[in-house]
Formats: sequence, C-alpha cells, structure tokens
Amino acid sequence: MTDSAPVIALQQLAKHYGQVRALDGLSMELAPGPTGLLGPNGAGKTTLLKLLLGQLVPDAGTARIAGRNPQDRDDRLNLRRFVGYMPENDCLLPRHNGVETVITLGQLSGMNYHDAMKRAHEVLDYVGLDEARYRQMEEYSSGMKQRLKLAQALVHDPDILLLDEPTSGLDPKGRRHMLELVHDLGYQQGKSILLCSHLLRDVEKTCSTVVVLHKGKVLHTGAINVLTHDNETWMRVEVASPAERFVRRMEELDMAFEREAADRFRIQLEDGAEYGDELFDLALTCRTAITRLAPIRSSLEEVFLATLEADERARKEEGAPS
Amino acid sequence: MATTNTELYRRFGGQLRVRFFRFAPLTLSGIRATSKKKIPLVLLFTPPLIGTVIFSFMVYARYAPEVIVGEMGANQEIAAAVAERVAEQVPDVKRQIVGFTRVLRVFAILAIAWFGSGLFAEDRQCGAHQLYFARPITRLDYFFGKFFTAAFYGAGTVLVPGLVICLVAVLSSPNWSFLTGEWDVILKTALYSMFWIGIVTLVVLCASSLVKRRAFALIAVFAFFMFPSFLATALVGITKDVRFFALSTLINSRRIGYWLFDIASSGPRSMLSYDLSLAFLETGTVAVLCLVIMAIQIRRMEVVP
Repeated sequence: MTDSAPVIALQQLAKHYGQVRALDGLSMELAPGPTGLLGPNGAGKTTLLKLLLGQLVPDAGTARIAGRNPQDRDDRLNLRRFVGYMPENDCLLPRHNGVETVITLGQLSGMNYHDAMKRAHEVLDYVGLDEARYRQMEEYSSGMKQRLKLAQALVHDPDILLLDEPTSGLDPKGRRHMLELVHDLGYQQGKSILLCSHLLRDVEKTCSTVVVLHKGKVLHTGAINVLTHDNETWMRVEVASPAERFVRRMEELDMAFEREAADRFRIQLEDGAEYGDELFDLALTCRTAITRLAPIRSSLEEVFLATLEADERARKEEGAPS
Repeated sequence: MATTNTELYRRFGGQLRVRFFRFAPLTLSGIRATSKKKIPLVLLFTPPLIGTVIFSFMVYARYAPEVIVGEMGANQEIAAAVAERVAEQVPDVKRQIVGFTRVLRVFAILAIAWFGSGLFAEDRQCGAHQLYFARPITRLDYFFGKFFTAAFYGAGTVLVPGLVICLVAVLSSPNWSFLTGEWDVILKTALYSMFWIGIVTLVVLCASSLVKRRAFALIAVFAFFMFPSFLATALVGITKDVRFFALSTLINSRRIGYWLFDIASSGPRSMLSYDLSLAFLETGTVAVLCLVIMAIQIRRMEVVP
C-alpha cells in the first residue's frame, strides 16, 4: 500500500435490512489519515464498518480496505492482521480480566504468548488502565470498558483503526481523554483511522477529513477545514475606538453587520470579496484602525445540519420516501 | 500528545505469525477462564480420581497373585490355582475397564456440561464474538477453539482415568502380558472415550449456541440425555421391543461400547442386543444435527445480523 493509495475504497456498496436501506450505493475513496464518519443514528456507519471487516455481506457493490476485499476469505483473514476494530457496544471476553483479554486477542492476531503479554501491558499503560487491568471485567465502569476496547484494537499495532463511537457512554473527563488518545494515534502515530460518531465535536477534534452519511448515502465528503470554509462569508472585526463613524459608514454602504460589542462587529462580505481589503479601506476613510480581523468559521455542526436539511428538502421535492 | 500514564505509544517490533493451529490460543484462554472457580473442579474431578485409584487397585489385584507366586518360585500349578481363585473374585481387566468407563461417562456429561455450556452462550451474551471475529480466525477455528476447551474437561474425566487404568494393567501384568495380549483394549479405551467426549461436547456446544444464558444450556443438555433415556426405558417396558433403546444417546453409547469391547450381552445386558446400526444411526444423526446447528449459529455470530 503506497501513501497515496486509498485506504478504503467503496463502489456502489449497498446493504439492506428488509425494507430499510442501511447503505444505498455508497461510492467513495478515503485517503490515509484520520477520517470521521459522521451521521445521525441509523445512518449506516456501523454497517459500513462491519462490511469493511467482512462481518456483513453486502447486497451489492464492493468494498476494499487497503486493497483487500473483505468478502474474500483469505483477504479477510489477512486484512484483520492490520486492522484494529473497536466495536460500539459492550464487548467482553467472559471470565477474563483486562490483561487476559488483550493477551488472548493478541495471540489470536498471531503473536506468541510473551509478545502478547508484553504488548498487552504496553497498550494498557497507553490507554491508562492501571490496576484495573487485573479486575474481572464485570466490575469495569463504562470508561474502563472503552479504554480496554481501544487497547485490544491496538494490541497488534494495526495500521488501520476502525473506531465505532469511541466516546459512547463516557463522562466529560473520560471523553476528553479518549479523544486525546485518538488524536495522538491519528496525528502522532500515523494510523489511518475511520472514526464513526454522531458527535460532531469528536470528529472535529480528532479528524482532518469527514464523510457525512445520512440514510445510507454520502452527503458530503472532504477536509473539515474546507467543509467549514464553504460558508465562510462572515468576518469578525475589531476596530479602535471610537467606532461610531465606522458604523455610520457601513450603514451608508448598506453592509450586513451585527454589533457584538462597542468595538466588535460581525460583518458579512459579498461573494468574491477579498478578505479584509475593503474593510481596511473603509476603516481608513473613517479615521480608525482595524485591530483584529478573523473569519468566522461555520462549525461542523452548522454544516452538518445544513447538509441534512438540504438532503431532506431534496428528498421531499423528489417525493422519495424518507 | 495524549495525557496517559506513560504518554507513550510503542510500536510492536515483533512478528505476527500465521499459525497452523489458530484455535490454540482460544482453547488455552478458554481453559484458563473456565477453571478459575476451583470448587466445581474439585467436585467434578474428585469422584473420577477416587474411581481411578480404586480401579487401579482392582486391576493390580487381578495380576498381583500371579506375579507374587511366580517370584516366590512356587510351582506353576499353585500359581495357576491362586490366579484362578482371584479371577473368580475379581472380574477380568477388560470388563473392569469397560465398567469403569461406563460409570465415568456420566461424569463426562457433568464436567463437559458444566464447563462447556457457557462457551457460546456467554460469548453471545457478552458480545465477545465481535472481538474474536475481528481477528484473523475462521469460523472453524472458533469452533475448534471452543470444542477443545469443553473436550479438555471430558478427557480429564473419562479418557485420562481410562488410560491410567490401562497403564496400571500394563505395569502390573506378568511379562507385559496385558500389553502384548490385550493391547487392543488400550486402543479401544481411547477410541471409546474420544467417541463419547465428542458426542457430549457436540451436544453441549450445540445447546450453548442456541441460548444466551448458560443455565438454559445446562438444562437443555441434561434434558437431552435424561428424557430420551426415561422415554426409551418406558417404551421398552411397555412394548417389550428393545429397539426403542435406540432413542437414547446414553443407552446407544453403552451399546456401542459393548460392541467395541466385544463383550457378550447376557443377563440384563441382553436388553442391549438391539441392532447396532440403530445405535450408530441415532448418535450419527445427533452429531450431524449438532454440527449443522452450530455451523448456522457460528455464522450468525461472525456475520452479525
């Protein structure tokens, strides 16, 4: 696999559960690096991960992960050596404690016992599971279970991580910690991550690229900063006091703006306007100075909701069942 | 950088190997996990252990007079007379082994059911199969991993004690006569034990694959072995047709055992003189059914619906 080759390539991938279309002809290619798979509950995120692992059989289309076809038996066994999977729901090995779980799963990945044991302690240290690793898992809190699930996904040091709602059920502190780990894995350790979440902030904090999935279809895909740039027509401007002449001049020019404070404004630029140049000229004519100028980015949440609304509108116009 | 204890992610420098026995870690971890509670181990393995000691002594008693008299240099007629007298009191070794194995069959059911009934059920309940099937193992590996976990306990209750008795017979027989003259008994003991362990393990795992609670699997296993036995006995009692015995796996295993060890049916055992093919047909059908059910259930575990 070369650096430029897509880690995941889907072509017309479809999966139905009875009448419900979990995935509806999905086609996309994901480059190496951390990618967020964003979508509301029931969007088809978990289905996609299971298809990528070969735990589900598609109704149509193909999926390839690192060039391998999960539906082919040999490819499936091979790809599971370098893919780590963290399922969403509670998964425990019955009657095992944390270390035993990670050791067993490490051995099943092809490690010998001593490597698996050493590695288990390393990854459990990394995820911050201390003495709890020797406790029976029935006694684990949700946070510990999530950490353990991440540890077992990392035990064989996979290049690709499929993480399904890693912050699910975590308190704010645990959530922050988990996101830091995922961020570290994606950016410092160079893992390719496909992070499934319906929490926009999780994706925003840990991923550089996002795929927005809704009702089994890709609504949007691209780098997060580009995605949030699309609606970037508002600027936040601070001017040196007094700002009254600046306000009057904007009113005369019929500019759209909102006054947030005495000397701070949200100003909408016209399409194609050069950032700031016009505003600096304007400030000069008003004998004031711009002390701060910054674009106001749409949050991923705004983009996400706008995308979903647009999709719903389009579906209604087409008369398609939602 | 993540704020963990060590804040360090270490790369794995070793190698991931493709093993031939990919199921071995699953079996070993299964044995480790199921043997954590010591009381069931003690309760289920003490009776076979005591039985092994007693039967070992009986086997030794069968050969000892011959050896002792021979070593004392007494004349052969006395030795033969003593041996004959002992033979009247103590059954021959083959019958002892068969009888012992027959008793231990019940302990094999208890042990395999106790330790094996949770193997699939608890995996399903805890979602463990989602972790297993994210690893490079096939459904067959998963099945073998669980099969050998349960069979390990069966071997501990019936195969090992049977072979220990055979070993005692070999060591205590004069001039290795047991090994040279009745070597087939050792082979048949191993074969019969494995046959029984295999059948019971398949039934236990099949029950375990159908339910999510271990207790339900336990109930199903005991129902499977006990109910047909009662039914068959009742039907034979009513109709006097011994072929009804073939309804019970437990009785069929006895029928197959007598055939394998070539022990004549006489007295109450004459009830087991029904057609051998019926016994094989029933046990074979049970085994195939269990395998088919497990194949379907394990596929469902890998391909999560």
